[in-house]
Amino acid sequence: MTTLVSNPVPRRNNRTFRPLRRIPFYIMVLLFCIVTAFPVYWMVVSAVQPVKYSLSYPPPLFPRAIELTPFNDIFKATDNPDRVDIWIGNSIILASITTIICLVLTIVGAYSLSGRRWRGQAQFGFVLLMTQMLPEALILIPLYATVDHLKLKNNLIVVGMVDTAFVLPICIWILKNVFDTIPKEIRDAALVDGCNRIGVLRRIMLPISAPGLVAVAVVAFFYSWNEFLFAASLIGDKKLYPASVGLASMISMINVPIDRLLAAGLVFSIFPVIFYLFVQRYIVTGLSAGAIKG
Amino acid sequence: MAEKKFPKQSGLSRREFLKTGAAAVVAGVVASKASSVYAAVPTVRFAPQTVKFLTWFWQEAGRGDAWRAMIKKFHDSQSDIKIEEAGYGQEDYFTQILIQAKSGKIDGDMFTETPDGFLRLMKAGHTIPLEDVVKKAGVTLSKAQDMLRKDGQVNGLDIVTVRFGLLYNKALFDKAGLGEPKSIDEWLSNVKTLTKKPDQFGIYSPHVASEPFSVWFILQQWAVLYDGVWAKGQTPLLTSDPVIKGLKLFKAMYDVAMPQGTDNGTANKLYGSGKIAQMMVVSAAVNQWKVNADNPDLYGNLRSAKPFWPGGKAITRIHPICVNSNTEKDKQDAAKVFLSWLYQKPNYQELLERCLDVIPAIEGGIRPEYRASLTWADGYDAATAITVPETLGDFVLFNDELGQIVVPHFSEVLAGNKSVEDAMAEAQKEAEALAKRVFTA
Amino acid sequence: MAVQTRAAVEANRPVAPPRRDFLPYMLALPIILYEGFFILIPILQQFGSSFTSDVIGMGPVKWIGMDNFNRMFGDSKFWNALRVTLTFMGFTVIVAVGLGLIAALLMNQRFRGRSIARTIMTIPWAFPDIPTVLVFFWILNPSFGIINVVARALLPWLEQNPKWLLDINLAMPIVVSIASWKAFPFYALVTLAAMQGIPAELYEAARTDGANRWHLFRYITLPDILPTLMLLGVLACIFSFRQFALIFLSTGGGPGRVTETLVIQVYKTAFNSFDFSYGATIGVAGFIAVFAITLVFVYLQRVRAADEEG
Repeated sequence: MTTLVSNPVPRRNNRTFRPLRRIPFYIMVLLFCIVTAFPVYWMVVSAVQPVKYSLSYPPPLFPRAIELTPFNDIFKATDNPDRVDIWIGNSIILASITTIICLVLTIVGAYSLSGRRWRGQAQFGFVLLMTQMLPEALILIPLYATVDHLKLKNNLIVVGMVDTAFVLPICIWILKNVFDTIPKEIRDAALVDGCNRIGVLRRIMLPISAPGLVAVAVVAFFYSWNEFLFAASLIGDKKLYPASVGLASMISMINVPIDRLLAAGLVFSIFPVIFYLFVQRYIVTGLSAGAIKG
Repeated sequence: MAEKKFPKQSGLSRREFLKTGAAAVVAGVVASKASSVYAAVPTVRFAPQTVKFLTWFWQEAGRGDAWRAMIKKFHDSQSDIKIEEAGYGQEDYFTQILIQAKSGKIDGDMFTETPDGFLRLMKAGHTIPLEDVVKKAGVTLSKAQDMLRKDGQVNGLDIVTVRFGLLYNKALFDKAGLGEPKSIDEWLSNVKTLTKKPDQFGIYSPHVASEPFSVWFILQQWAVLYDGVWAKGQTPLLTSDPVIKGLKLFKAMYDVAMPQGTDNGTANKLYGSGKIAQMMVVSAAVNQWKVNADNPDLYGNLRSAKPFWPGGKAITRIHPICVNSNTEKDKQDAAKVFLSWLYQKPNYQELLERCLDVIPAIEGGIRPEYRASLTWADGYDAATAITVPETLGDFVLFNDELGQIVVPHFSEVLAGNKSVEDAMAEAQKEAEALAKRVFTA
Repeated sequence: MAVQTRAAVEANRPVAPPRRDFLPYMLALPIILYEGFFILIPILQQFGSSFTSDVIGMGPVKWIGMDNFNRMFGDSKFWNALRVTLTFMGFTVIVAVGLGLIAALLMNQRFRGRSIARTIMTIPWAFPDIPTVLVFFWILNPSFGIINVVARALLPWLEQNPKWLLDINLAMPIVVSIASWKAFPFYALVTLAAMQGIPAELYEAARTDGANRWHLFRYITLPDILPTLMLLGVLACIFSFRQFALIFLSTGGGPGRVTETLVIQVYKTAFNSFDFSYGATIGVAGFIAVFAITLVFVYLQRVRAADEEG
């Protein structure tokens, strides 16, 4: 803002509103939408039309025919445990567990980081950032050994806890920024009114930060829905596979049921998309790191 | 719900799990450890046992169902032992087994392996001798299984032998007026004739960089086409004439006749709908076109080419089933009971037929009537077997490392950025460095 | 317990801030323990492992001191992976955060259909990795992919379809594009949130002064969201360093080794080549590298912040 004052912008007079001037803008928006949405659209087209049409050149832009047998196959009720509905169910359980554990810890962590400064706060924040820099593959072996040693394999709660560890720092960062936007006066006023600080958190901060909590939930949910490395090694029981692992298990070397894989991929993608559509109007407010100060 | 049909095991069902949490597992494991000692292959009755069977077969078209059918038959024949299916997709299977082996114990009572993976795990002590199983089943093992021995004792039982070969679609050959090639030159020109881009292709062999595992798997056969090997003893032979010629042939066909950039799964689909005329592929893959081809006539039209290449050899891989050395004695014994049941001649024959395999692991393991009914198997049968240790020398223990050297360099050739000679000269240097590191230690 | 009560009591005296405030420590402790158990202890174990020889089936684990590190420094594949990682990180940060900024600017305008456009533009965020790769694989198939239709229309002189992911020169840009497609919506949303925090009066005032669109962006929007963008830069660096699934599933590190990042190399060394200790060594080195880069970022930001205040 100081910049604005020190560099007065040149004056221009004709500031009349002309709708035609917006056409390039609309074209840009349209282009952006097409490029981002096309892969999603293509997933749908490839999954619902018989594979032979997708494998002809040039591929048809709109589905030539609709074939839903693969969808039927992946939900088929037989002795076969390769069932996408079970996997999706597991994914929902896993992502919910992660989201819940993550929300609780995020609130605790974000509250400790926001507000009054304390000795070691910067170091704490930095350690959190550091944990984000570790690739999952690097800690897979020691983590697997520990979990196996404790006889905790095949437990979705454990996988949820591991996922939480990896997504927690970014969640804390998001919520801390939201907490920071709450004026100090509001907190102090509540303290004067006889709330203790936990009370302030519960009665004042959390209700105000509801959109921030939604954003945290979305981030945690997506991470866990997507996560593959940990789930694949910590879950060995096919009936407990989350869908990411189940989907990967369909990719074998000698043959891949490509039509069923596409159908399963579409089903797998639909859930987070629906979840996102429901909560997306809170997201921008929730990420209102409008006050991110670094 | 399908899960109801599965035998429950120590509190591992999802619902129970969420109810009781971790405590249930710990309790379950402790309970299952309360064991007593049995004879090697016991004839005494067991406390009911669940045997966890780790394999990548479940997802393979035809093979998964074949195994499920055999296991069901076993379950119907007795009630003490339940076989529980577990495993991963093939691309991920070996990674998971490794992570488990690394942390001390493979997480299954029985598991299948590739020949090279097996040798490594046997060396690391994850397998147990199965001589008593063979004796009880009363069968004679094929010579090929000698590589599964440690101190003379067989540590794994071959459960599917796959051989590389050239599988073609006779209908497409007939339409083009072509017969089986008699020489490599004729083959190359056939492949070109059979290609009508954009959607008719003469041949496919895996080459997509995201599937390095499959690429290296099949690529090995291309050097064998010129009667070559990739290494002898501790010496890599990546710049040898047969290797160079084989890769050049691959590149020539890739340029004109392959659906470039197509992954394995998609290529199989294309082949199934008659858009690819032939594939370099293992015998075990045939089942998928019987089970689910878009073109129902295809299976009847499949033929494998009789070897027309110098030496007429084809890589033959035996995939053993092993019993985990680190699981409870009771589980090992139960697994052995299952295996000695499965390896009895009639059961073995049934498994082989259900899997649509052609090369038996035991003498008389294939019924002549069944063999006679297979129209596509003559070429596979006619080839001379060359084993993985013969193809890779001492590098058989470092199969993947060697693949990780060859495949990236070869992918530069396919991209058109390097000549085969230059790429393999670099690969040879890296392979020599690998040999120096791993063999002198 | 006693401490907690005392903290609570102290918390009730807001007038003079307590000299010793335990509450933040009490709150930070569980987080530290949690992250310590799941991440920090395993990483220390890996650090220890990098001084050993631990190859499955090749005898017992041995202490070999710095041998793994010596091997790594002489390993051209490691240096290649480091270069690939930095290239991937650099381009992904620029492209993804850049696209995020442009998308945020578009979404920040008032126009008809804005909420629909916003939904469409941010949907890749919700799209999981495996289906993402599946669909891009189909789009980019050199034989059947729809991209060939587009490429041939735009570049009519092409003699044959480009090989896309199998092309040495195209693989990296494509992988960066896929990763950016997936990542930019999050950056766009955070940037948008920052933009919406800018008071409207500022723009009004500037407009009365005759500022055009570019001036508004250059002198009001950009300075205000710059700290956000810097932070997103750091995050994008970290996320792209860690990126595994998208690269591994779409190119496996190839063709050649042009997309083999450190994370891919760690995975291949440990899980395909059975060489756990050397995998750990590369991983630890990669971690140190990205740690150093982040430190530079943080330092630059401190300097900038100090400049502004001074």
